[in-house]
Amino acid sequence: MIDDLGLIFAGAFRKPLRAILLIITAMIAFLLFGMLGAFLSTLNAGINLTAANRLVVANKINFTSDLPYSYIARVRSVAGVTAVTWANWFGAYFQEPRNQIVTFAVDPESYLEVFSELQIPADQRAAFVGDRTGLLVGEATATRLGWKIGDTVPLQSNFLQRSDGEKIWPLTVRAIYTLADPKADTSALYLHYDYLNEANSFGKDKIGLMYLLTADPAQNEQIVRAIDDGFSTDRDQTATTTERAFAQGFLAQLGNLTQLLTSVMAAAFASLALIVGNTMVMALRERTKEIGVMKTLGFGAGRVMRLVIGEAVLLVGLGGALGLALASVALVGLASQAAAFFPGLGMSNDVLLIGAGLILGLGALTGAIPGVNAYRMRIVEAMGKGN
Amino acid sequence: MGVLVDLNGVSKSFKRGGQAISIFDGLSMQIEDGDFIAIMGPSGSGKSTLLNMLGGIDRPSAGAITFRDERVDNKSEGAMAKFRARNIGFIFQFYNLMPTLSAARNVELPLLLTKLSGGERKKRVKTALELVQLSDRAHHKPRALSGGQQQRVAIARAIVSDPAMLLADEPTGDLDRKTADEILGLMQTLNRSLGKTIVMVTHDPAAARFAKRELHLDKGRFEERLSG
Repeated sequence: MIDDLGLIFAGAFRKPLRAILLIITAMIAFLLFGMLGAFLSTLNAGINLTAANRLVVANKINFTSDLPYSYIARVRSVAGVTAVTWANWFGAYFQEPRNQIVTFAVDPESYLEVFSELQIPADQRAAFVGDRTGLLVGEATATRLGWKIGDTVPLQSNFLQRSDGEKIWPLTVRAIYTLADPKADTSALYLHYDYLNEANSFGKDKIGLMYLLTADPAQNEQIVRAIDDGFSTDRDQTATTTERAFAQGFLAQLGNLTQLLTSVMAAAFASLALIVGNTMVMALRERTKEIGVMKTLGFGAGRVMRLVIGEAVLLVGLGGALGLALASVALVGLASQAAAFFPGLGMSNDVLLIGAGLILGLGALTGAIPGVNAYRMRIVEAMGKGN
Repeated sequence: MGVLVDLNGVSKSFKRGGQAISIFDGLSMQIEDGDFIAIMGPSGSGKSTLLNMLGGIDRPSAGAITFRDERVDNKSEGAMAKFRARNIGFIFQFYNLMPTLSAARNVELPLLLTKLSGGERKKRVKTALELVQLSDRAHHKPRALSGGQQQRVAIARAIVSDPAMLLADEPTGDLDRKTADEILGLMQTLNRSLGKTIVMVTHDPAAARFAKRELHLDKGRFEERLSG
């Protein structure tokens, strides 16, 4: 037996080759969307982890420039600041330079106070804090590389070398952290700042970024001014912002990339809409008489229109679902290779939801013109044209 | 037998190049329940237009059409579609089957406009295909059927929802004599055994002889001859 869905299938696959080509077109567009959407989503993920009462202090020239160690105490003394910590970019890789891992040298106790969302079992926390060559490893990296508590991990840095000439920094995995949100990025590593500072061959007593907590987010603006004004006459001036603004500013540096990715997706969907829309209009023209017959039999104009739009939604839907599925599979393969630059890369629910919305929207859009044509088609004219 | 359809003073005209062209003016006729009428006439006499108006797919410019005492020519498009689904079965010259659907699914189409269950629809499709002696072709697509078989499927589709009236527009116009006579014989059986009212437009005098009445439409007027 047949129903409206059966009629939609029969209409959509009236010419199988044409239907398959349309599905492939939609699949490519949604494959692109899935991949690029996942990259954008990963880029934006950091912003969602920011805290309202956390500020970032960077060198005014650039966040990659150092600040003097002595600044820590001066920032700590600003009214309204409740905790201060700092982090230096380590530029680590494991075994091969292509195996990059996001790694910071931090002051363990103050860092874990300021970033209290890092969840670590108490014994592991104590072990990490108490071992100068200890390493705090994110669960994602520990799982990916099979690291366990007690393992000695020979990390190397892209730009740092020990003062004894050794390139390898032997570190012992003392703790593994997780985050409350199971999908949040847990790929970063943390080692002791003191170990880095003592063994480092250059740039001693320099810090990268300072992070601080304020007593109340309402005081943020006042504290930002107090810090930056306080260093305004020093050789190294500071630029203080909220953590969220800092993350957004970091993303803005990739602004062109974000815009490029968005433009590529928009172009893909515009092409898809034109191709599917045009094909659906032509397909309906071939079936003018069939539409006339259906209406003659008593199918109402609205139902005929829904059937035609349903065909477009079905074709875009099949292609879209295939494209998103392929993107998910491809992202699994890419995730480990791109872990250093895109930690946590993978298909997110947001991208899937937007994808589903796009499938429905594009299907309805491309089916709208032929659907309305079918709605308005007069039986006498349709049957006459067919003859 | 009561009156099934009453055409009262029906006119039809259309505009072409800014000029009004009248097809017929003040045409009246009655179709009795159980009638089998063949409408003949020269090309352009308005036979098909008349059939379209009887079937509720075209409207008269003036006059009234009633079906079982209910005025139908002034119904909305939606109501007209429901009227067609409930009361009229259509048989076309070129069969007009859906090429992507099997014979059974083509026959089932009008039943999608009812509230019948899948099982009930299946039963009715089976009965209709048995009536036209095509049960063994139920799963064939139209392209795998001969012209006569396709027209039988079209007839099954026309009767499956048990409409009161069948409208046939040159139903044998695309068939050879032998097949045409088989189809006309089938229509005659539907009329005589099942009491279906049939209005058939044809150019073929041999086809018209299967009907009970022949109406000749020419220059906007009817001339009636008894037949059969």
